[in-house]
Amino acid sequence: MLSDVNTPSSLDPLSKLVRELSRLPGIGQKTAARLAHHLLRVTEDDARTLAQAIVEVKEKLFHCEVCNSITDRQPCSYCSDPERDRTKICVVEEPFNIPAIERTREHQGLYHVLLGTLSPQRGIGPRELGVDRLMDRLTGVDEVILATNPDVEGEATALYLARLIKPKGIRVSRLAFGMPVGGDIEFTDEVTLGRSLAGRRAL
Amino acid sequence: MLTHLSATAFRNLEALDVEVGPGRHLILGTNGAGKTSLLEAIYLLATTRSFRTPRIADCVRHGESSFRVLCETAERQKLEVFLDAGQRERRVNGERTSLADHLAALPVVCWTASEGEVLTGAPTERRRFMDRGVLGLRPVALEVMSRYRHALDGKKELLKSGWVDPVQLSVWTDLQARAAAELSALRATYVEQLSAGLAELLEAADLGLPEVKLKYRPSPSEAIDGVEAVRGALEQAQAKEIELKQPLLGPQRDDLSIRWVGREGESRAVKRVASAGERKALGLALLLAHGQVLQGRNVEPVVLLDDVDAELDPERWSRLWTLVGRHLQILVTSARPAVWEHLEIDHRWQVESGRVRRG
Repeated sequence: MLSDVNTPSSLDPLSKLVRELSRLPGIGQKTAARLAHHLLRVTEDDARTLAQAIVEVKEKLFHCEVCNSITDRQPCSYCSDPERDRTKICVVEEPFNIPAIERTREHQGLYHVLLGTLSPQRGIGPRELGVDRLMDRLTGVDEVILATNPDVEGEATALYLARLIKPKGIRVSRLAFGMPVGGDIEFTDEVTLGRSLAGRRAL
Repeated sequence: MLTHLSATAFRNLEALDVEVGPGRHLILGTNGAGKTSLLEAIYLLATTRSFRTPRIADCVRHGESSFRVLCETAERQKLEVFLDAGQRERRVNGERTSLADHLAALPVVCWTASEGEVLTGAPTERRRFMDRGVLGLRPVALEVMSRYRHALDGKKELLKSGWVDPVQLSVWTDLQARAAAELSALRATYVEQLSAGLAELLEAADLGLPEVKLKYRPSPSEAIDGVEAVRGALEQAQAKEIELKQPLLGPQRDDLSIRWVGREGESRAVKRVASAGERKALGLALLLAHGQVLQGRNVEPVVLLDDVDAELDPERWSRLWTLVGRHLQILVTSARPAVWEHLEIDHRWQVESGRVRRG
């Protein structure tokens, strides 16, 4: 039957793998094909380990019901850690932003993951981001650090949150942007360099 | 400056691999021979876009699946643009850099058949013209332009949805205002420099044209007074924008007014009073003035002029030609060898059925 041509069952296993891989972010058709052919050559054990790891993250991990970070227990290790400073919340876009901030060891407070940004183009508003849940967490908090990305949507999200949070008398701060530390001016792209110049400060 | 050019499976050009020296190049050939394709290849390398088509796949030679164009500049940068699985790819020295870095590698100034639309066409042609100028001077402006576009799109969607959350709307208006102020300042500075360059050029060329007045017309009109002024104007328009469900102000409504100034100081829109020949001469003068603005900032653009002598009075053209500048690299195509008999040329090329040769 003609209509069956593109259903998963009718595809050979290799095409099926290529198709599934190419649905991953940042993976185009060509990369997907290369990865699939690589997987074809690995041992069966390695293939099983990979497949299991994928299934396991789906079975054993979920979002923390307090902060939305990825966790294997409720609430997550950040939210349940008595050592962490409960007066500071750092707001990020995605769970994978947390390890980057953790590595700096500069933030000992809690986190809140929005799982996205405001984007009228994609129909994502404050409700879709669960902004109310963040607002409900602000009792006893004296600083909110907005660590959304420096693109237009990240900036819009930060501005929006600042407008809601500031009137409550809570300090709102935004990450500073500019040149990478240890970066060489010669090798910094012109846009970053331009922004660094625009946001320069007196010494 | 361009030193080397090669092209494979590009339009109707036969495989091309040539050294390109400094100075003035005249490319002769009949219509359809491939002269324009040659300039298009250079333009594509410099800007990653074609001046003939928004669909880059149109540039692939008939019967082939992809093309590749490559050039080397006097600064020993290797630029490359090609099609890979239907996608446009660009490289500087073998690496994919930011678009701003790519644009900075080979600045071009280009005249094509559609260039006259700057004078007669819709305001969008003049915004494009201003932005090309701005980008030539400040490749970093690309980030401002894309940020503005993004903020405007966000606001558009919000307004379109009908019910508008005032806090959200004010956030997007704020982002729009900040980017608008930056973009307007860039356009204003550019028009000022262009205007000075044009006045100088027209006086030196003595083209028999009246004095020309260029004036940047920003939207909102307060746009060049800074972010606060823009924000204020945008907020004032907000009620109307909500009612009409669309943004009403901002650089997407900017224009550039181009007027003749008469002896009595009275001014008239060029597009209404100038003849076709006068418009063409002025369009070219604008382009060359842009080249001078770039030179003033120590940017040496490659000048591409496609079929520039068509409809242009030979007398005016020869005067402009002497001003184009001996020290710039210029590539000009023509189907009329006679026009060039008495003009100074450093290199001559012939294009016949896609084959490019010297002489």
